[in-house]
Amino acid sequence: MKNFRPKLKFFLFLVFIPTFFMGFYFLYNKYSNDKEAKRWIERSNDLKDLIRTSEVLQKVWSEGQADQLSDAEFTECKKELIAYDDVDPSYFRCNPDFIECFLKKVKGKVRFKRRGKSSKFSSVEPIKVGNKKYFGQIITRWDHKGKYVPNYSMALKLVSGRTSLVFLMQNSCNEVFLPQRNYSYGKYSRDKDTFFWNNFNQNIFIDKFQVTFRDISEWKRKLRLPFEIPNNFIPSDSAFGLTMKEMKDYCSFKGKQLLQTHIWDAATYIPQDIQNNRKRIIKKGPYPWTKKKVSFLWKAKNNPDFKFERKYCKKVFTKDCLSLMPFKRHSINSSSWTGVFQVLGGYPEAMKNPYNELKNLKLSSFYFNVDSPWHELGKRAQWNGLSFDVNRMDLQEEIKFEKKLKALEKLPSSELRISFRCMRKLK
Amino acid sequence: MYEETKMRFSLLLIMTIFSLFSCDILKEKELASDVFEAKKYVDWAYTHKLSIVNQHYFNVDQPISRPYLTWQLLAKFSVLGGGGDEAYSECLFYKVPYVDKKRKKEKIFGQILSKRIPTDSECNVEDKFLKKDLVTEVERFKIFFSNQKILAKNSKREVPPFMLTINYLKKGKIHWSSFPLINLNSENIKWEIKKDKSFLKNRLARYSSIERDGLFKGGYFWSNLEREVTDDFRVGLAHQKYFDGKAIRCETWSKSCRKKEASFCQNCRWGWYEVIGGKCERFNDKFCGQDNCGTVGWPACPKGLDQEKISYLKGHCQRSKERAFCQKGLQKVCDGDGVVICL
Repeated sequence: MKNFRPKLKFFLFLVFIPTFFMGFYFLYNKYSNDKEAKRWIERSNDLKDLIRTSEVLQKVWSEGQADQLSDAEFTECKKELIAYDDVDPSYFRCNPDFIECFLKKVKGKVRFKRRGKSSKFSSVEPIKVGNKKYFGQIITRWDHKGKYVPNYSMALKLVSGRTSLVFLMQNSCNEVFLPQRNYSYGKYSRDKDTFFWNNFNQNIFIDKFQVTFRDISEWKRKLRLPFEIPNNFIPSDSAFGLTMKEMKDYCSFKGKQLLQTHIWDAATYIPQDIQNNRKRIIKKGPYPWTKKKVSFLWKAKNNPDFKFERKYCKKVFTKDCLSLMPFKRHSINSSSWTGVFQVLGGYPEAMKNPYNELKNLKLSSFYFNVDSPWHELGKRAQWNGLSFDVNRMDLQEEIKFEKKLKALEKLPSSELRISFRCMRKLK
Repeated sequence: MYEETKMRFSLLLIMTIFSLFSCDILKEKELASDVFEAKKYVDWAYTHKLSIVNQHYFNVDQPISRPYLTWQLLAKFSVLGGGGDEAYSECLFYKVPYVDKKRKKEKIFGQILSKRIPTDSECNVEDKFLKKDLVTEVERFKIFFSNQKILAKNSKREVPPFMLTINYLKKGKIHWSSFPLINLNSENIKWEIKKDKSFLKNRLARYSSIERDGLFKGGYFWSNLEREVTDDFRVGLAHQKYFDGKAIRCETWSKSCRKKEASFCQNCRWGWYEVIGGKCERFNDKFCGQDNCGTVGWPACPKGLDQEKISYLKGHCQRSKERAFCQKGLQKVCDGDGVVICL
């Protein structure tokens, strides 16, 4: 009996010590778990705030304006982007320079609304690119090695509390879908120089606007290519002075390809029967705004009493318009049934012609008066893809340059400004 | 003596309390509902691909009740990480509870389990992986997901598109949890039962400005800019000409019109182009590079779908030629692979 008590005590001691440590471990674990649980809830709340911030940013990106900017600040941004005068507001949509300016004005603090609560702010963290700091960074498939990288996007790093994410914004503003239907190439459907085709098994997107100098300078900077900024550089202006090869390379950089002529015809000739997408007999009117064959352009050519009016410049910006009004950059005038702009007039435009490589230049432009036969859909000239000297182009009509006019200021007298745009096919 | 006894007693009491707590270690780790919701909100947010399994459980607005006491796989999430790479995948399982029919009272509760797996792995409830999140004592579990708005009539609730929503009862409290999948678009949802194709076709129409839908059209989210791997997924660092035979084929279709392997044309640095001909008549093979279709030595350009009654006596090459065009003055010829090229 005397020996039993100490043995019992010793036995109880052996049992209690490990269970004591287990209990201590559990309590510590419980404390850490509670802490971790609180952290997870905080993280999810921060993520919800970041998603709301992203919604605000996407709205600013796609609309090209922001409630958080005052009128004065917006005007300052327009001036900073050299887009205050004679530039259509569509230029600011899906424009990385505009987002950069917006974020600079709000000092990286983006306001978002919360349901039933007051507004809150999230931060956009500047990213160091070389020696400078920018709010946004251009991410492309070209320079990013990741597996799932969009062709081209602007990335912003958003921070809320201890959580951050990267929001990549793609250009969802400046392309338009080509409806799936039967089409024909060229002017007349009964002409020998034509063929029928359709895009029922293809999804094609076309740029609404011609490529601008802003786009070209960004491309050249990104790829560290030599780039001579032209005199009186206006970023919103349609880019000219590029060879055909450079045009193709730029489009490749954006994950696209140079626009093809039969696709341009499809996007600009109004279908006589929009409802019936399988119609085989395709009648075509020569102008993008009407199915009729008669318009002010026809009258200009055939009616000696024709008088040019200012309102015609909205449909075709011809040489006659240069003396009546300033040339608007990134214009939404001269539109087509699919929603592409800058169809007739303005700058001449180069395209790839897989059917007839000799006809690759749309010449309807402000180089010609309203009575010129070039102001029609499907009318194309030849360009060698390299030279801009008019004297080297096989043109039946002489181009007379007006040196005094603002649009052609400081341009060598025999050089043609040739613009372009891209298109994209879905996989 | 008295002090010593008092100290011994206090120490014994403290040890007893700790010991009682130690019993909890033996219980399986589970998460509280609010913590599970918060964790999964973060873990699933960057999902860019989703596979729906056991699709018959989805959107019926009825609790999953059979087969009893089995683990049912519901969905597999592929989640983007930093720098445009996939970070991990997660699998969502549900253990169906056992219901006593006569008394209509659960005898054995259900469980919600989310397991993290490496990116290319398959979902298996038995496999032991590092991270798992569990919610127990679950009953009347419902699940909803679609790329369109859903009206859950019984629950009188509207479920937004691209948000995985679950509803369950736990300890007498009803839980509704919605998880936005912000990188997801319709093309990357793998349905067990294929969706009606006409819906997909009508999604793109006149004036459509982008092909992606989802919660953020034209927007992607990464957790950060830095990558954890160094692999370079870009393909075709230089111009490769088709006629040199060096062009990289990024999408190949077999004779039975099945893709031989996953397409990687989205990683082609210079873009991609499709060719007419090849083994499959319905779908065209694709190559990396700039599109020079119609010119000498290059594949012909696509003319679209056949709309005329083409005689089936004509060979594959002839039928392919009729769906392609070249530059004026060039001839359409089928090469060794059956691709129509211009010479």
